[in-house]
Amino acid sequence: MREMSHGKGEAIPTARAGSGDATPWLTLRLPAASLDDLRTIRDFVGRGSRQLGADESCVADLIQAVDESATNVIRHGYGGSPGPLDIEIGREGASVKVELRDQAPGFDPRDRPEPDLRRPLEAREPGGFGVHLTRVCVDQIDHSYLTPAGNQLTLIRRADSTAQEGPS
Amino acid sequence: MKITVESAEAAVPVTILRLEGDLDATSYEQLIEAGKTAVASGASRILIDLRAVPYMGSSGLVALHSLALMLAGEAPPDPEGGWDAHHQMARSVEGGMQDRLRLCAAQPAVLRVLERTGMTRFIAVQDDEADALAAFS
Repeated sequence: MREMSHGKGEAIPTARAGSGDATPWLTLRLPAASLDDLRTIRDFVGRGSRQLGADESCVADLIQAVDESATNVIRHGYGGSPGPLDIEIGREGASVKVELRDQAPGFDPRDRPEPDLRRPLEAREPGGFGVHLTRVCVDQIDHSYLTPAGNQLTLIRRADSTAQEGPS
Repeated sequence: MKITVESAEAAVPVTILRLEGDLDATSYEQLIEAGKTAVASGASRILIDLRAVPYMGSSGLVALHSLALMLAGEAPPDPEGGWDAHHQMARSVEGGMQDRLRLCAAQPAVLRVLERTGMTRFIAVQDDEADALAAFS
């Protein structure tokens, strides 16, 4: 059973069926996400990650990664027009996991090459530096295409920044 | 985002832009416009005070680069130009540190963004405003 927030800026605890983890996940559902929702999204990730026990470095990195990813979804995935965006945040062992789900055309940020930081501001794609910042802020990025359309982007970051980085 | 404009006298006249609020995809164009206004009013050196900026996204980098180009007398890239804008930034950075635009008082999360993207090799960031002003030549 899952409850979702259908409002803006409202984080509702949800229970993930079969997760075996009693820590509630938090969900933010934006039926028509626009760039004006970025502040709401950052606040949600900040509150949620702190609630889940992330240290401040983890909180800052997740805020950065999710903001960059959401910006790319809205700006490039939806071409700047409002579109649905769900964001869920929860604990997975020693890490905090964030899932972003959209209905935009397929885009896997892992396919994009790293910008060459010897020429530090070069990016080969729109949003290139957003993708780069996302990569350096989290330990693991997973992507899957959704049916019938859309993307799920999963960002995983250890909650304790002093702990050894997990597999990427 | 709120932007306050002040004038300061260092070795040369400096325009200070004091930002308050997040610098993200919704506010970066506002910073570009403030820069355009300052340059059109005769500014040749700009110091951006970041002490009241808790968050900066990659869009903020586009704005900072645009200001640096304007101060160098070059046309800034179209903010919506995507990879064209980024390629132009790369060419600028290849020229090394510029000295017409400086930043001060960046909060840790903002400084991390600047460092992680190499921007600190192009735009100097100082903790102290007085030191930043003194560094202009």
